[in-house]
Amino acid sequence: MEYNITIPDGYYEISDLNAYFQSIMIANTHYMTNYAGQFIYFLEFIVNTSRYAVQINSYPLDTDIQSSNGYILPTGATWSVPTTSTLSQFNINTTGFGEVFGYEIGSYPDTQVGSSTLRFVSSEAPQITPYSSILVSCNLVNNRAVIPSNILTSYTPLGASIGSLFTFEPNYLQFADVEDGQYTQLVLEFRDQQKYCHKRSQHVNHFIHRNKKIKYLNIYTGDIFSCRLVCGARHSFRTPR
Amino acid sequence: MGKKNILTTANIEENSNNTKLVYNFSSGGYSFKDDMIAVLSIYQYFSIFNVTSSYGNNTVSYVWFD
Repeated sequence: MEYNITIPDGYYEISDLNAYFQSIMIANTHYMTNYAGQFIYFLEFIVNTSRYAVQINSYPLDTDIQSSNGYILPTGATWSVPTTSTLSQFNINTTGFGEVFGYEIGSYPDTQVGSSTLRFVSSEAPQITPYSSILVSCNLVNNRAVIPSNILTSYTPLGASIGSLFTFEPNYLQFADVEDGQYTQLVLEFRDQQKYCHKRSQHVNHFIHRNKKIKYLNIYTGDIFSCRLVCGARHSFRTPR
Repeated sequence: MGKKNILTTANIEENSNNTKLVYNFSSGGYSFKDDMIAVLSIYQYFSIFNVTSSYGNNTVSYVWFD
C-alpha cells in the first residue's frame, strides 16, 4: 500500500527530511523494535559524502528475519510481517523533490521483491536548496540590457546558516540608471533564482547571471532587516578623467 | 554626493512573504532626472525555505509491506 507524505514548508537538511520521514513511519506504525527497544526502520535516506549523493537504503523483511533478529511489531500495528522476503519502496513523484535528492522520478527499489538490502545513490548532484542567489528589483531602475529591466543587483547568501544574520555589502557599488520621472514610491522586491527561465528572455538573462537561467516566481526570503541605498545624479558618481 | 535611504522591516509590505519593501516619498513624490541608484548593503536573517509547496518539492510517498 502506498502512503503519501506532504512535508510542511521549511528549511530541511537531508537528515531533517529523514527524521521527518521516519516520524511519519512511526505515526503509521511502520517500524519494529529490537530486544533493546531500539526502533528499526526498513527504509531510510542518508548523505553519502564520498559520492556527493543522497543514498536510499531499503532493507528486506520477512518472518525469518524477524525471528532471527528478535524484531517486535509495535503496539497498534495494522500490518503483519510478510512471509516472503519483501522490500519497501521510496517513491519520488515530482521533479521538484527529485532535484532535492538528485534522483529521477521513480520507485526505489522498482520492485518489492528482494531478499537483500538495496542501496541507491543520486544520479545527479542533489540540490538541497533550489535557489543559489537572490535578485533585487527596484521600480526606479530601467536597465535596458536585461529582462526584466528593473533588476538592481543580485547576491548570494554565502556561508549563511539558517537563522543567522546575513550581510551583503558589495565591494564596489553597482549603479543602475533610474528612469527619469516623478515617483511616489520606492519599491524593492527580493526574488529567488531558479534554473528555469522565461523562454523569451533566455539569452538576455545570461547577461545578468552567468549561465544561470532565471525564474521570477516562488518568492521566498526571510525577514529583511535593513537595506541601504544610495541615489544621486549620474555625474556625481562618475570618476573624473 | 548621493542621497542615502535606509529601508527596514517597517517598510515590508504585508502578505508579501517579507519580500517587498515599500518606501513612500514625502510631499507627494520625488522627481528623478539623470540619476543612478545602487545598493550599499543588505542585512537579512537567513530563513529561506528550501522545501515548499510553491517549489513543488514537498511531496513524496512510500510503499510499505502491507
